[in-house]
This record gives sequence, C-alpha cells and structure tokens, in this order.
Amino acid sequence: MTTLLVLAVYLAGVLSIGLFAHRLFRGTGEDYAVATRSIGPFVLLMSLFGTHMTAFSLLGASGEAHRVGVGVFSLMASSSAIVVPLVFYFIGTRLWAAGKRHGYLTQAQYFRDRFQSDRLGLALFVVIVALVVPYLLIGVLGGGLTLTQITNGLVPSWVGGLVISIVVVTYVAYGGLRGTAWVNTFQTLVFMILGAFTLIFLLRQLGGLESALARVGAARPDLLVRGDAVPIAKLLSYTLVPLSAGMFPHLFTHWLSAKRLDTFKLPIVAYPLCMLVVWVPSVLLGVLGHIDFPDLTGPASSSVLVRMIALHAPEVLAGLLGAGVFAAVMSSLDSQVLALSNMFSHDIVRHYRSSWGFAGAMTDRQQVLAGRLFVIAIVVLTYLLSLVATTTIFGMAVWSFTGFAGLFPIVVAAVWWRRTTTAGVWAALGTVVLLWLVFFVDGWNVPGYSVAGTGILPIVPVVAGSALALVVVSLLTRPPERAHLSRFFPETAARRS
Amino acid sequence: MSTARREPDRGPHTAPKSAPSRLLFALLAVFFLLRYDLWAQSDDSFLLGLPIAFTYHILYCLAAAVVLFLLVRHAWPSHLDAPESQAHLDTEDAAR
Repeated sequence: MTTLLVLAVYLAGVLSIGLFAHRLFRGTGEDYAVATRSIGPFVLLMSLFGTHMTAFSLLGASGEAHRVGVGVFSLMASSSAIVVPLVFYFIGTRLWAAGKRHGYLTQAQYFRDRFQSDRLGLALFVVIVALVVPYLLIGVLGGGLTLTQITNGLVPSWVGGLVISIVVVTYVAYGGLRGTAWVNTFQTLVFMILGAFTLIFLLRQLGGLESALARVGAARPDLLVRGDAVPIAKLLSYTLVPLSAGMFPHLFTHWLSAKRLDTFKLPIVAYPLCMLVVWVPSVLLGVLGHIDFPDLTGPASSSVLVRMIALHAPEVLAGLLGAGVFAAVMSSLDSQVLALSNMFSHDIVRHYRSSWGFAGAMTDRQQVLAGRLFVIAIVVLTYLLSLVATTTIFGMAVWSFTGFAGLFPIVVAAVWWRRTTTAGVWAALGTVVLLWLVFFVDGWNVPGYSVAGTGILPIVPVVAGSALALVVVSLLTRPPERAHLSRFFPETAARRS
Repeated sequence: MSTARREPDRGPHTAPKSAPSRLLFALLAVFFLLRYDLWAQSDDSFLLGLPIAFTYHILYCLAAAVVLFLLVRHAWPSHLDAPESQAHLDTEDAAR
C-alpha cells in the first residue's frame, strides 16, 4: 500500500508540473511543437538525456549485467557516452540552425525541403513512424509489468499501462513541448537520484562494495571480466547503436526547441557524466544481484533490481524505485508521442490538406487542436496494442535501433555533403528497408542473433549498405542545383559568388 | 584599436578549421579508438576497488566529458548562430 501511495504522489507531481507549464503556453502551433525554440541548457540536457534513456537503462541494463557481467558497461554505456554527444555536436547543432532558419518543426519537413521531394518526405515519415511504434509499446508494457512486480502482483499490468497512458496524454496534450520538457527534467532528475540512492542503500545492505564483489567473484568470476561474453565483434557492432540518436524524431524535436546554439554546450559536455550516474548503479547492482538471486536466467534476469529491493528495502524504497522506472518510461514515451503527433499534424494534415480540398493555411488554433487530437489518438492506439502485444516485443528494441542507425548516413549527408542527391537518399532508404527486412525475417526470434553467426550484428551491414548506396548513387546522378543548395549551405554559395 | 584577429566568416555549415580545431578532431579520433580496450578482455585485476574492465570505462566516460569540454570550448561552430542565419522564421518554407 505504501508503494502505491508513493507512486500516486509521484504521478501527481508529474501532472502538476505539466499543467503548470501550460500557463506559459502562447497558443501557437510552433509553441506547442517546439516551445517557440525557447528551451535553456539545463532543461535541454535533462530532456535529451531523459528522452534517450528508457526503462532499459534501469531494468534491462541490470538484467544484462546479471547475465553477462561488467562487460555490459563497455558494450552499451561508454559507446553512448561519446557517440551521442558527438551526434549532438555534428548533427544536432546543424539541424537546429536549419530549423531556425526555415521554420521546420519535423524531420520530414527538413528532408522534404532539403531533397526537394514530397515522396521522399512521405517515405521517411512512414519508415520513422514504423520504427517508433515498437518503442511506444515497450514503454507502456514495461511500465505495467514493473508495477505488477513491485506490488507482488497486486496491480495487474494493464492498470499500470493505463495509468502511464492517462498521465502522459494529459500533460503532453495540455502542455505541448514545454510541458513535456519540464516534466522530463523532473523525471530525469528523479531516476538519476534514485539510481544513485538505491546503489548506496543496497551496498550497505550487502556489507559494502569490497565484500559484495568478493562474494560474486568467488561464485562467478566470469562476471567480473569482460571475457567471452563481450567479444570484440560485438563491442565494435555496438559502437554503431548510438548513431540511431541522429534520426530519432523525439531527439530532433528537442534539438529544435533549443533557445540558442550555445544551449547545446551543456548537453554535449554533461552527457557522459549523466550516463555514469545512471549506468554505474544499474550494471553494478545487476552483477551483485547474483548474491541473492544466482538462478535468474533469460528474461527473468531483468527483474533482478526489483527483486533485490523487495528483499532488502522497505516499501517506501520499492515505491521510489517504481517512480524511477515510471520516470524513465514516461520521459521517453512523452517525447515520442509528441514527435509523432507533430509529424502527423504537420507532415500529413498541414502538408496535404490542400490536396484534400481544404483552402488556406491552417490557423495556429487548428494546428494545436490537431496536435492534441493526434496525441490522444496515438496514446489510445498504443495502449490498445499493448493489451494484445506479448513481451517478445521487448526484443524489438534492438531492431528499432538498427533501423534508425541505418538512416544515420542520410542525415549526415544532408547536413555535411553538398553532392548528396535525392536519388542517393532513395537508394540509402531502400537499402536500409531491404537489409532490415532480410535480417529481421532471419533472426527476429533468435536470441543473440548475428550475421551468419559471425558475432557481427545486423546493424553493421545495414549502416554500411546505407552509406555505400547513398555515396555511389549520389555520385552517379546529377548534382543538385546550386541555387537550391545555397539555402542549406549559404556560406559556400557566398564564397563562390 | 583592437588587435584581436577577426575570425573568417565560414557560414553555417562549415566546421571551424583553425589549427587547434584540427588538433582537437585528431585527439577525438584517437580518444574514440581508446574505447576498444582489447588488453582488458580477460584481465581479472581490480583498479580503484572495481574490476578493471569496469573502472577503465568509468574513467573513459569522465575523460569523454573533458574531451567534449575542449571541443565546445575551442571548436564551437558559433558561425551557425550568426545573425543572418536566424534573421527570420520562414514559415512558408516550413509549410512547403
């Protein structure tokens, strides 16, 4: 009962922040979608980090560490710690500048304009939506299952999913991006602080770090070295996973919300430190979970953190951990829902309304209304799907990352390479879809699937194939017109004139 | 009269090309390769109270923050924020 009370207080706090943010709402479509590009450094850092981290960082990471040991940190955390900030630096800042210059609100708007192709914008829209949907499902399902676990089955998972859905839809629809960013900041602080607190508390319960590691080392020394569990091919493959951040629509939305270019500085520098605060407790506690729960295997290992807290901690801490997991889930779910809602409102309704027989441009009021209706529709649909989806959907996360990383060469070429052609981007997109489908059909139900058993993950050929197709076809086709490029590379045009 | 050298206007999509910037990008490439600690694949020793494979990557994350700080300090693409690049919000563009 105490657990539920703590969770209820937490969710009430989240709703209050989201509703308070509405007081600053300016009533325009741009304010709803990107907070009139007014977000400062700290809120941007917390929004980007909280959006990028999901429940996997708390539960999945500890479960993986329980299975394979400390090598998980080198596999997933340290690669993101350097690659993701570099994506902000090399890609995010450029997209922010283009967005501010031309008033973009979504990725499809940018790519449609950059490559002068309506169909390409539409195709990217379809692919991006298809890749985000599993993510939404994972959030709703993960939140529901966590609530069931920490209440020892008292609350069924559909109730947890429903609660998360109602809270998210309320503050996203009401507060738009500003509400989402503020709530993200609060939630990110919550799961960072609770992660560190949980580590300190459980280490004391286990007799201190040295003693606890010695006990694990005596029983499972393999967990304290990287060893065969993380071979070099896997380590190299995982380097590509964080590239997916470059094409996430929810990160794109947050990039556009930055007030100034300098706003990016803090997120870039502090990102690796935030990774440490969240991932060190997760990985360490996952490994130390072997002391009390040595027999957990497979998907059950993801519950090791929850089980440790249930065993060692009072109900209040269980409630706080539940709040931390909810925070991680909702801080991703809200931004994904808002990004999809923006895409449907602007890339479909606003862009195609004239071809449907509607005259004139959409008013701000209509844009906001469309955004809110899409938020509600997306969350309702996701929740209904979560009722029929199975937990095998969790395996979809890695496939989603693979698809987004495959699209990364497209955004790199768009902001850095003038010679990129529309045909080149089509070739890259087609290659990603084709290779992704081939590998997915072959390995979606194979745990630890790698290309022909080599240890190399599908993400490697998908990214390489995408980049190769883009470069070769671009070079073989007619270069874009200079007049058009001058809108995206104005400095080069100025030098040449 | 100011003796400060005026930075050339490179425009929104050109990375800074000063010598310190080039040095930083080279440092970045080397730093990136340091992530692959092949020597620690089977090393079971401890450093700072933790398994070395774990400690190394914690220190790597801390070093990453330092490298990134140097990057934003000395190779920041401030030309992206130039007045001409934010002169107006072209809402017609967005509606296209």
